[in-house]
Amino acid sequence: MRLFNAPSVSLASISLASISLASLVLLGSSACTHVQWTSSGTIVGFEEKATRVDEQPLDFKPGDSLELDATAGSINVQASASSKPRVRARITAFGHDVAEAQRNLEKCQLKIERVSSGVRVRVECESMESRSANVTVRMMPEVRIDATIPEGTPVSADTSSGNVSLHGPLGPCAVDTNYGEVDIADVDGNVRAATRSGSMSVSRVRAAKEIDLRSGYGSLRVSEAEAERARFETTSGDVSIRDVKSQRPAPALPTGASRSSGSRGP
Amino acid sequence: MTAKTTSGDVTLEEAAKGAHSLESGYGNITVRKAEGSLRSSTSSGNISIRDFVGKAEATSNYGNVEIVGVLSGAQGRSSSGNVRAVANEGARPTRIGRSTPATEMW
Repeated sequence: MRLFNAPSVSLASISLASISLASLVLLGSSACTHVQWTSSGTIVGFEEKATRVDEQPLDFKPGDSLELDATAGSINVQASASSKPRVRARITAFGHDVAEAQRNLEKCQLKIERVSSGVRVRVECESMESRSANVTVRMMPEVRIDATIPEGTPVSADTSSGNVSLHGPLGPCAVDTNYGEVDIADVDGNVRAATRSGSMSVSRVRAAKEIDLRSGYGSLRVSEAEAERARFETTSGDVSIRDVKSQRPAPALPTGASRSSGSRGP
Repeated sequence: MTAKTTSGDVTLEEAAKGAHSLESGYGNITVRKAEGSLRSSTSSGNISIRDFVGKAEATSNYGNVEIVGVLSGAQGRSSSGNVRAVANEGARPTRIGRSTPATEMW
């Protein structure tokens, strides 16, 4: 494990120093190094990792929706009329040696539950901590979820840090990610998506009452969409709208209002 | 539809009939081949509207405004930029700042 201490003089300097040191860690290592952060501005690089792929069938009943929670990682959903519903989770955990990485990996499980609205898929991890030189690092795994689901299924996807890609034909979609890009295509019904930092691309939306896209820092691109109401809002980024049919504007936001996260549920 | 960005460009192309509201803080606004009613405003950017069927309103504080080919009512306004309007029908000029070249018409 490589460990660096950045001076804690101000938030800005911590941030800049951290970025610089993070680059050094990555460049200075011949192997792939995963960088974790501590609240004091310390950067820790873990050179060892362990990866496991879990794959399970999904049991969908007519009218079921899919709820996905990747915690930290990317989500990819593809609707298919011919393939059987399945989910595949690639989970990578880190440690300062192989044994620790393997132990951390065993703390993560792919969970599939039946809920009232349909099927919920999530990756659940116990707390992962590594101690060295009086520094405790809380680690997050890297997760990638790939799901194949029946056509027309409503989808709700949530991840704290990762890209989300939903490709239909799907039912109504709701996406919430803190730091990641969002790509949604071929939806029959409402689309709501929110990201604090990331670009969004939405195309081929039909028969929606509402399309609502919000990004803190990222561009928005919308094409071939029909909705009674459409709202596209970003603090910093371009908004590109092509071939969109919308009957009326969404109600205006109060001055200075912005939503940091999207509402859950399609 | 409503599109809003604090810092970025807004582009609307091939929009069907509807009430469109486009707003940018520090970027340009471009509209091509759209229909309905349009309100567009930017604090510090240019606005270009072409081939719009319906009423179009464009307001820029520190940028140029160009309105070309708007049917049934156009209004352009800039506090500190050129306002250019060509081949619009039922236009209502509201010009603040530098004058529009004489070859152009409202």
